[in-house]
Amino acid sequence: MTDSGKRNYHVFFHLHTVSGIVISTALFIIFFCGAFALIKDEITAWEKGKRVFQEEALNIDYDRAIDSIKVADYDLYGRDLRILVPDAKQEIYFQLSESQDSTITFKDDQVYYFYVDAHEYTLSAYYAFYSIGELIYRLHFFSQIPYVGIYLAGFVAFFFLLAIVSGVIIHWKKIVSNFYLFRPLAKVKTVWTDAHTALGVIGLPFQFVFALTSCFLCMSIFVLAPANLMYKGNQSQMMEEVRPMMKAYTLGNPAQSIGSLNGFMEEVQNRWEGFRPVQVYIRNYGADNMIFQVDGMVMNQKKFVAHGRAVYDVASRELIAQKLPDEWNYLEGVETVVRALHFGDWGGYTLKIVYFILALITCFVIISGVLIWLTAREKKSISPSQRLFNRKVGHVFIAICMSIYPVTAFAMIVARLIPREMDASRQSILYLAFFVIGLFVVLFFRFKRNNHFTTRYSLLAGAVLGLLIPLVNGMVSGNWFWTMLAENQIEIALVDMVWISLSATALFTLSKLKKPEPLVPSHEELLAMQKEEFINELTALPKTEKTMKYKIAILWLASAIGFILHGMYGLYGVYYHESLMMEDATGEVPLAHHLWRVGLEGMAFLLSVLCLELRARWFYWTAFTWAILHGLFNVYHLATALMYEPSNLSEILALAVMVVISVFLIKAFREWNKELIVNPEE
Amino acid sequence: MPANSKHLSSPEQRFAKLSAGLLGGYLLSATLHYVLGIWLGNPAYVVVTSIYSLYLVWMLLFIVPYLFTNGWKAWAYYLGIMLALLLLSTL
Repeated sequence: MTDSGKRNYHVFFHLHTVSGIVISTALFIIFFCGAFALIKDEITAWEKGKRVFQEEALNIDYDRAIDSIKVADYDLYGRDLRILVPDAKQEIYFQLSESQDSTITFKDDQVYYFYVDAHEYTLSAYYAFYSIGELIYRLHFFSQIPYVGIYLAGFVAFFFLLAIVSGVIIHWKKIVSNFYLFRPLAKVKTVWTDAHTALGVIGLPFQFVFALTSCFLCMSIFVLAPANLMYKGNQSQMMEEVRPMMKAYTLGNPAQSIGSLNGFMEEVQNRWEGFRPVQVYIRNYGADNMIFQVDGMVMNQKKFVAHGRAVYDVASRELIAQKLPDEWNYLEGVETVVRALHFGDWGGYTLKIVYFILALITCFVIISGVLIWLTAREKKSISPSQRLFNRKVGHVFIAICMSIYPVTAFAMIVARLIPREMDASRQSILYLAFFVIGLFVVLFFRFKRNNHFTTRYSLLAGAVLGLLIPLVNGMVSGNWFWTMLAENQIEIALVDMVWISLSATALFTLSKLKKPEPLVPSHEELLAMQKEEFINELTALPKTEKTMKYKIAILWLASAIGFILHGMYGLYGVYYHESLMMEDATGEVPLAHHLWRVGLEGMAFLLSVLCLELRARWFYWTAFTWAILHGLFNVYHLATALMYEPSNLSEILALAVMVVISVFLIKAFREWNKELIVNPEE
Repeated sequence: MPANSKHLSSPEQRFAKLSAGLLGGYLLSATLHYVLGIWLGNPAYVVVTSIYSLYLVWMLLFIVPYLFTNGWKAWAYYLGIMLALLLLSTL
């Protein structure tokens, strides 16, 4: 290779490694949870245990559904209704837009959404039954982190795209020959390298599709910004041209009598054989130009996405517009294809199973990539402190990635055992079972500092808990998977069978797992070497630099002042006639408010003072952990402020300074750590 | 094999390249699509295409600054191209 060619190769290699390592844990969680998100509705059906009668559920009585909504005291006049047809959950999703009626003075501008049972036609709140499937699905785009979670997932997707493309570039010349290369008896690192390359190539189209579609699904705002400029801010024109299913119609006059909404669907299905509705819109409810619109797919295997639409005028019962399913339309096709590729809803359960397996293969590619990174760094030329840090990254990564399997299985069992009377607390119980228990499991494995141990016991626990899932389900409900199969209840049986297959795979992997040679040097030896390293480093420093505790104390103080400033900036709106009172203020300060104050300013002050007096390892770790959480919070706070109040300049600057303080604080803690290692007792 | 450290850059250069790739790359990709939409006079097709092409172009433009030894030079090129495109689109 030429010199610049060599440099470029290193650049691509570095980009691939760094982008891959930075997103590794998040990406693993996304693919693992994403695999289960494919069957989230089946999981809900499995949890409820009620038989699934899909044909009957799909045969919606629209008039009856509207009647139950009216009985529940919703005023529908002038609203647009968006309806998602039922899946295995057997519930019809309704979303009511705000009313377009400008004649009423006391307008209800709220948007409502809820479910209507597809058999009983009873209303229930969206989260009336919080399913473990919903939790896992939401985790696959980090929706549990408010506001910024989905963007975080979006950037993970973006860097995944980068890692894929740079990975292909570095392997390009050898992509065919390396694919057949498998050297299981060679060094550990080459095994991981071969597995990473071979499985990475097999999964390449799948991974590329997911990286690209996720960019759009999580960060469509980046497409909308230039698009808005092209349309000079005319959003309704843009929507009409780019997403014709969103076309709105100006509200007419109130209709004398409202015609029936039934019958249109049958007509569409007679018109297009094999048509499966996906979304129904009822526009301008109650007006003389009320519209019934249905969007869906023709599910024959001739065409990949045969998307069709029929728009009816309810009063005259005439078809006023349509998009034929077998007519390709680029404008509508792109987004439909993006969604179809991502959600895998165009090929039945066969396709979903293929997607599921490919997602788990991707999880393995991610793990093998990190293991290459780790083994490549077990070298004498790397400083002991750096090696300890690398190993720590590995322990944390393996702990999180491996324990998510048994923890998910455990949460599934919990979800199946919660009785229906406790529906209201399902979400809290499931958060406890998944996130809190999960945290303890991760911490336990991380401090075991043994990746082989973590892998072995996670797989074992996952396999055992996974086999308990069908057992618990059968005992609780009698829905044994063989009876479900016999009754043709595929949706319910599928969940049990997925877990049994996972257990079988895990047990097979366990039988092949060999105990590796212990790492040389051991953790303790490295710690001793690190102490040596720090002694040398600190004696080389000038005297004044040594006492980090004063620096840390001042930084904590600065942090506390920052919070106070931030609180004051919040009040400045008063000068410009902003109301001080919160909307639901009762005259009493809620407890949560005090807790935030104590947690932010109080803790910063306390740690600032304690830092001057205390010199103990436990204090160091407590304060350091707090500093990291504090730093994450500051970054989050800055990000949300940038998103939601970008005009509040002084506040954004104050928050940016807070982030800088946090960075310095964490760096100062690392330095203090060196001092404490060198001189444990003063 | 960890990348050879002689090919790695200083923190300042790293910041220049990262910001040029992430921020500059996006702005250039968005400008490119915007100008194309204005030129072709048919924004709908460009907007729909940008559903995938915006991120692909952005990703490629993320890589480019790392091929420069000086990341600020990448910023200069990006800003220059953006300005030229915007000027051309007003003609």
